Amino acid sequence: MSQAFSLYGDLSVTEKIDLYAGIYGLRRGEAKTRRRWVLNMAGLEGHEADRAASLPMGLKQRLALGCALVHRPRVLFLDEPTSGVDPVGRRRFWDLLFRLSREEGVAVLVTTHYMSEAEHCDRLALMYAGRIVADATPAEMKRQLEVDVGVLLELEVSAPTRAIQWLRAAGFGDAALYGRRVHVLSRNTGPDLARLPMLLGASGVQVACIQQRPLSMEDVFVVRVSALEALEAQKRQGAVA
Amino acid sequence: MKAIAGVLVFEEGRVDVFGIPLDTEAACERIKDRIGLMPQGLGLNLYPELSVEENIDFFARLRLVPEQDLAERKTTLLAMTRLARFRDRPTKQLSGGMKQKLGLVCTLIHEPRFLILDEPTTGVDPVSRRDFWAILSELVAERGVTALFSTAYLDEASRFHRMVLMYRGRYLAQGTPDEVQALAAGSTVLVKATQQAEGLARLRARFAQVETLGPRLCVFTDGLDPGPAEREVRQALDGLAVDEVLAGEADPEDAFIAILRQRGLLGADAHADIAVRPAAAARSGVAVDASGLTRDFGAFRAVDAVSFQVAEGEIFGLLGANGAGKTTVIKMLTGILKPSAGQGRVAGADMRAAGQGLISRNASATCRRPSRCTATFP
Repeated sequence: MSQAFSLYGDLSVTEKIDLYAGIYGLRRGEAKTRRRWVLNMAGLEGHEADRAASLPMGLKQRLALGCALVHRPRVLFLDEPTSGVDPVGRRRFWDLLFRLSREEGVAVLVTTHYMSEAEHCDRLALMYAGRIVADATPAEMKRQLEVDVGVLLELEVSAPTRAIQWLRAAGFGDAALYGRRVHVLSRNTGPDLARLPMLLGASGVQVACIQQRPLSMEDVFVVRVSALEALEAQKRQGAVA
Repeated sequence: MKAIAGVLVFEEGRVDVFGIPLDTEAACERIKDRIGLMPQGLGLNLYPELSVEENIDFFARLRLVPEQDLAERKTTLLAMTRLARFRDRPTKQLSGGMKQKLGLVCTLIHEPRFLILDEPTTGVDPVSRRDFWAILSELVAERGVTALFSTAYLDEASRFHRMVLMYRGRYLAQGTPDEVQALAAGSTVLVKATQQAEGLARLRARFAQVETLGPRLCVFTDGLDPGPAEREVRQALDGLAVDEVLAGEADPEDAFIAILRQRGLLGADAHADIAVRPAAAARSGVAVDASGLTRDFGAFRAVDAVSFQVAEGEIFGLLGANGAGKTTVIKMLTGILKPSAGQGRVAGADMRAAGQGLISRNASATCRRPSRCTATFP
């Protein structure tokens, strides 16, 4: 299932499924059986005669998935399948993928920019500039990040912008703003939990709350890719000099 | 958002922007020098053939920005978005994240007081997304700009000062992220049960909102603090081998789903009702085997010696920034693109043969055996 599934939008839902059944060379009897399966699996019953292009995003996505599955493949490739789909539609989509993998033993290879979705995968490979730079389970990737860069602290402060300026100057280069809260990575959790409120307080920023938060896959992605980008920028500058 | 920007007529209701009611076309024109609208879609408001700088100049002149101001603002904004190095690059050659940053620059060039950003981070990789947020936070904090931002990704909600939840055209709730989250009190519990199918069935019998997350299960427990939530989940799974139980504050997306569920809005679209047959779960064959996959486009190496394996029944995620080579890997494995070097086997067949088979079936549709791998073409 490719990123752009917009082809033949004028076909009806059943016409589109039948077209794919034909392309994959299914016989008439089996095509009929599989059409019923796709309509049921994707929750498209009642939409059989609707134009594919007029379906809401979530249904369109499931129709695309159904067409890719019409010939019972053993391997399913999905390139950013859920971009722009709402949370309810995304959850249902991932439920389907889970069922396919566990019930039917289908292998699923999926790309996504959404790290909440990366958590749905059994295993992940992180690519940078054409190379695979990490290959592990989401849990292992987070554990390794904690070993390498520390834990995530979240601060509720009176003046977030000033707090971030101070933290960056104090060596917490990755301090970032989340609404009114500040996220920062810390290698010395115990001491930092105690000293950050005092030090920020001394520079006029009141800390209402400081607590440790679990690292997310987004933290893994951003820290790893930023580090590689910085390395590349250094090399580039070296080459210019 | 289009109605608020004064570019879409609405049937009922009232919108005031900067104290001006948007009830006539003339009224809409009066606010447009103070607003900036970035429409939905990756780089859809930009001109693909123009360079980065030409796009900025175009928008600046459309907005009647004086030339001396333009030079100065352009330098500042290009530095802020780290696009200065790509000044002369044609826009169509930018990655998705860079396009969105350029879209933001073009939206900011006339120094609007009010920004309307329609899903600016959809389809953008996490590093570019974080960049985008850093730029926006700075504009809001230091220049007092107001921003209206839409997203389908609830993990971004923690970035907002205030938010409104909408579902199918209807308004659901508004407040600070904490206030909205408090509407669905509860905790999120992550748990790994060795017999995942059995665990899922048991948890779904007891809790209304259970999801699978790869090898783990994710439970939203209505109205429970993390402590009691963890106890109830353990109880439900009593007798199964359970490890890695992690209970904490609810995930924003879980809370959103819970609000919809509690108001009866999820309906038939809620779950693909999963009845996992555990007997089918034990498989161990290799479904995808990529070895040293490499692809050059002229002097540019898009994919460099990529090797990995995907087992049958496994969900394998390929992550990376826009332009890291993910789509090229998929195109090689599905036989759409020839590799410069390396090999791939998909469902036991050479990827190149699989591609040829697929293409010949496309042409003649005489083959009796359905192909073993799937690819749909744009």
